Amino acid sequence: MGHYARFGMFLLKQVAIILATFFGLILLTFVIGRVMPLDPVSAAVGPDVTQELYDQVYREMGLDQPIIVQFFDYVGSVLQFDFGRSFFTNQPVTRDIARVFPATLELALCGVLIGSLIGIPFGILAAVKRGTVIDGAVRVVMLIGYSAPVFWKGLLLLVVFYAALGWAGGPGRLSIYYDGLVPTRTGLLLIDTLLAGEWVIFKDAVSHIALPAISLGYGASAYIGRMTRSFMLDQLKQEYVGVARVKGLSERRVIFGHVLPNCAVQLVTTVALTFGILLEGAVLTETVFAWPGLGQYMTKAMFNADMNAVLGGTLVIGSIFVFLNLGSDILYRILDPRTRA
Amino acid sequence: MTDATLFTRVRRGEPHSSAEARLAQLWRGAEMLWASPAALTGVAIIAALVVVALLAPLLAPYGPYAQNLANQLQPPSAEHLLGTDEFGRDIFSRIIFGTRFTLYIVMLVALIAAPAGLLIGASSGYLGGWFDTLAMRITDIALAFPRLILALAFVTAFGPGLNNAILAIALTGWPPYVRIARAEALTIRRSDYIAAIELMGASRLRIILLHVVPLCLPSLFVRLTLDMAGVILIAAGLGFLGLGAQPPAAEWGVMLSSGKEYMLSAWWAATFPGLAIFFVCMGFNLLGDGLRDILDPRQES
Amino acid sequence: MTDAPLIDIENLRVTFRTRAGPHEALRGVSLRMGREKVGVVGESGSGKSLTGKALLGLVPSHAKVTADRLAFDGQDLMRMAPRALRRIRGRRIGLVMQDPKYCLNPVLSVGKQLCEAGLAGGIPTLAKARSSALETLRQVQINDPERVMRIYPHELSGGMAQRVMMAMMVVAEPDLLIADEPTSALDVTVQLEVLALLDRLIEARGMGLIFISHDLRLVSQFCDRVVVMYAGRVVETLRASELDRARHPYTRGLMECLPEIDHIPGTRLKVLERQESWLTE
Repeated sequence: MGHYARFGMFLLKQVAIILATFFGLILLTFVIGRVMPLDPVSAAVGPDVTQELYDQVYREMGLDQPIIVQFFDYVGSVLQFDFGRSFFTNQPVTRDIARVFPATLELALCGVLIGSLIGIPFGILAAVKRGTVIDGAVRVVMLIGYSAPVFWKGLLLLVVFYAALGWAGGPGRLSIYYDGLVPTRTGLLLIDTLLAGEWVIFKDAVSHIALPAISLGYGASAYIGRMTRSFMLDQLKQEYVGVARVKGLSERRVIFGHVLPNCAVQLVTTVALTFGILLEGAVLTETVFAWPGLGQYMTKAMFNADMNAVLGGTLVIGSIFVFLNLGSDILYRILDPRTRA
Repeated sequence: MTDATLFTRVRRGEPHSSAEARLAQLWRGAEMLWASPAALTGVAIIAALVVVALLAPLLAPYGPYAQNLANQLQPPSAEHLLGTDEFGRDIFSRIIFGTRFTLYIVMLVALIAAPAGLLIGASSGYLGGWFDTLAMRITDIALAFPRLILALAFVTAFGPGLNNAILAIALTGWPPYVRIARAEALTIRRSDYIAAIELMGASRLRIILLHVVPLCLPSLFVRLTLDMAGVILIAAGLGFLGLGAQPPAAEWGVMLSSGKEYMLSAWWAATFPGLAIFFVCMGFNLLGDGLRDILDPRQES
Repeated sequence: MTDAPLIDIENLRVTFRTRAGPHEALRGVSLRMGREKVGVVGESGSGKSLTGKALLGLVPSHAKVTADRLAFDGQDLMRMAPRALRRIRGRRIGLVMQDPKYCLNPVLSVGKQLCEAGLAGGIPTLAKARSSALETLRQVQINDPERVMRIYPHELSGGMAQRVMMAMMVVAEPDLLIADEPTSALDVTVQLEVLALLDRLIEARGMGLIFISHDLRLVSQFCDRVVVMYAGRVVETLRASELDRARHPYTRGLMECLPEIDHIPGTRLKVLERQESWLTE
């Protein structure tokens, strides 16, 4: 009873924080889009437009209104997922984002998968073998992983595995001749091709996503591995570890049965955070691999000074960050028995 | 007292005054740094960065902007150690001059973001009350934002360019410093010696600036060092996307960006600038980790 | 069961490598005991806890352990394979430490940790491990063992947690229990209760006990024999009833430092004066 009431309070508090954060995010994009540029209209549509279009946009953006009214209009439209019109695709930004986002999502998911599958085991290994050659080697490989720029890693992979060795598919999500052959259901090509039973196209999609996913996944595994190692080392110092050994448990049971469960909660948070970081990283990676996702869309929008598109993308990625934070806080609360009392 | 005895006291950690105590602490830190090959490597890389930046004109065999169109995209050779780019410029010389951009970016970001965060955090922790609540709420909100994306949005608003990119990075970088300064200020705030200064009638501003802020500096410095790797990566990313420094600047991100066009035929044009970014990042990461281990002995037993 | 003593330690030395050079934490400890209650007293750093850890083979890996003899029930622990050592730990020796708060795994339920100890200690099935866990909990005077099995360590009070700890360490019916300051982290009122329980548990199961403490008087009341340690070696071994016959100046010094009920106000307690010669003799 008390436990549920407390959990309810916790949820309420989280929701309040989320609302405040969203408000902050919207305010910030408003300031960036409407207040900071000397001329918001040119910021949105670029300098070379007819007076007619200029005036139309001026009214559409409500620039003849007081700034406070403009802000609430802006909040209202953002809440209805209306981010305005992109001037370089001439489409509503929302529709554009819905079109390009699955590609980015697929890439980031693959990256976080690779990052967890490699980072967590090697982080555990390094912590258990602390101070040995193995630990040193793992740490050096991880150091390289988070010190090297992601787009540089991507370029090197492209040169070696695509251009020189021909092991992987090149830029884009699919080879051109497979484009449009598979019906879109989830938007995630790896899943759509499987659903359609198109093995050959699935393999083609895998060979295309491999390199960008690896360049993201390497950095992710470095980050996750480093965190895993440090969580494990913290826990290995605790007395309950010695007690578990006194019980006569094997070292394997001590590590996987006692130490790892104590890190699980922090690991979930780390993986969630990493997913957010990868969405950002995708912006840089997509440029290298001509990956038709949100990152490439935003980059193009920036060059065309298409403010609505840029801010739309910022809002989407920012919102995902906010939800990831919320989600990991709630999971923390559910997974850790200490918070249940 | 002679210098020799002062030196022994400092070395043995038997200080006779607070200044000596601080010296002794520094000495111990330096000893620990010396004992850690990783941190030492970091120090060496960053020292090399600074030296190369200072002596760039002496070290570089060619000018960073000296074109030689007859000599485009030549592979590494005796004349051009790391090859030439699409305008026949010597990549080695450009990387050497690029250290100046890197230092400029890192120092400017540090100079804008850190003092702002420090001041807000120190005031927040010392003053407490509504100011603290408000400042921390805003900081928490800002911490929840994606940093690179926000920097991109800022640059779009400011327009591309090196200084705008630096401003954008600084604008997204302050929240961690607020957190750190506040945490330090909270512990200092209740100390007897602050109470003594308050009794002597010092103004709040004076206490914050002269007594709280200096004590926040060590942990702020560590955090700053650790962050520098991230700053370099973001700056390189902005340069790579064409939103930071603009061609023909010998900035590593820009070099990488223009080199990428020729990646399949002339791998060196993008590979070496990337390698430079990587090394400097690694240097800051190594030094930052080392400093953290020294200042936070809980981490290592 | 053999005729060999339960514990037979001769000239046990543990050396830590430190930055300032090797540090010898145990400098030739010898101890022989059967199924009796032996108290080990000494100040912090005298090596009393480390002796217990060495018996369990749980000395940190950067330390070097040597001994002329380190045997448990006639088996040489120094030459034992890790797997066999683990069996000894799980089935035949238990350890209760100072602060139960840190000794129980915070994310596993009490029941899970108890059953695990039983299973590792040779109880063949989970059902049997569970029933003996429940029984042992009752033995340490926990009235609602079913409920306690379900909850998590942070929901236990300090005294409860230490009783759970004791139950966990005896559930596999070991021959020897090492209790390392088992009451120092508890409230004074709870301390006596826990000690009485410990005593009853030892008597009922016929175990040997090594009781490590800095409290000479407590140890002398509780144990059959008292071993006094100073700076990594045993300086004196006495029957608890013959404490006043102590010869070593350190033991005598310790006893003189104890305040007495009929202490005359105004007179100062003696301060223990250490002599360099204790380190070498």
